Amino acid sequence: MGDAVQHVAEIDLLTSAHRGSERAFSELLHPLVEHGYRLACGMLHDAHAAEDAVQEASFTAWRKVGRVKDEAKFRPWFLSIVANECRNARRLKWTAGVTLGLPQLAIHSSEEGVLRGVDLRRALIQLSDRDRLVVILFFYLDLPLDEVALISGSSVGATRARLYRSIRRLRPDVEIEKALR
Amino acid sequence: MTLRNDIHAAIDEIGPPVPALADQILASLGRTSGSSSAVLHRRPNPWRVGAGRLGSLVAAVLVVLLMAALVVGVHVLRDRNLLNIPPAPAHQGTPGTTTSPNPSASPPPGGPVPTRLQGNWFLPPAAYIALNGSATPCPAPATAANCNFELTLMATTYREAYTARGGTQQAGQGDVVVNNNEIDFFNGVLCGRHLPDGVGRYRWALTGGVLYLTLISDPCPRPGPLVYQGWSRTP
Repeated sequence: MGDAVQHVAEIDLLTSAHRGSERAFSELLHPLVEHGYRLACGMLHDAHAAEDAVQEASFTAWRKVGRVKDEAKFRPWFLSIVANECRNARRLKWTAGVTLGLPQLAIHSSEEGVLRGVDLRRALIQLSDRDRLVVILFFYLDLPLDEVALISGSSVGATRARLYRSIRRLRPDVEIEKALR
Repeated sequence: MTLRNDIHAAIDEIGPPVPALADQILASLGRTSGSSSAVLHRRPNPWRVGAGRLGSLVAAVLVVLLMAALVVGVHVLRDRNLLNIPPAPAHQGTPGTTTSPNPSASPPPGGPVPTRLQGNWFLPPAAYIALNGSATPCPAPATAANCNFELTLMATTYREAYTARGGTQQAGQGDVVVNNNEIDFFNGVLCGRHLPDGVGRYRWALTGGVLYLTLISDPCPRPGPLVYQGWSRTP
């Protein structure tokens, strides 16, 4: 019963957003901004660039919200826009695509945790955009594989293969099933 | 730790929580929409131009054409000495220097780049591939000549470029000052921030002919290649 009421409310929000209601659009988007920011951080490794990407994505989403027909697809739709903005940011600003987000000082740190983080970020940044997108969505945003596939524009099978391939590159010494936990 | 936990920890380090981000973005969305009411006008689809809008568009194009014709006409008449227009005052400043968008804002303290730092500095192919290889790949096989980053330091300006598939591309440029062991980059064209904002502060050290830069602070997306490893005189 509660779910049905919530579903009706969501339909109303989306319908209102289609009609140009900023309030309805804001209610739809608000809980997703953090997801978008975390995705952009994972893609760009730069907090400022991530904020910019999410802001651009929000404007794009506002302009094109009429294309979303199903509220359940609003999150993957918005995250795919964020991912696209991240790709644009990397194309337009070469440095945005190569920022590691951590100064050289940290690389010299003797703390194992910091070194591991730096090494992992370096390995992530060496993945292709699409591989990194899948890894960030699955491991960092903890999204299910079918939603990852939807956002990345691939089939579930292709996404799984991309994920496995990326895991092998990130952690060649770890079994796939263990890494997927 | 699992890979999932490691990735969470690694990305969390560079992306601190921004709890107010959603409110900021949604507030700016409202300002951009140009209305404080709850129901806002959607930005019009540029491919669906109505009759009235078409008329405005044509009028705007005509105004632009008229102004262009006036400018061209004045130049032609001035060239023929038919108009007695005094020459424009000579541009103040040194030719070739970058003009600051905000003349009242002072650059960071410091002087010109020391002579021993001036010239071209390179990162090798391995560094380029690690940093930018997925965005613009290098030709195969990658060599020092066809795959590198280049940083050029002149007395008061700097330039960034990379060589990869498609040849050498300029990536950024701006002004630079050196203050003891600190080197500051500012007025970067790719950064889009102007003085007093947009100053990237780094420490520099020259060891064994290799230039090392260490980030102090930089609001621009500039530090990646700068601090990745030491810069050499040859790629």
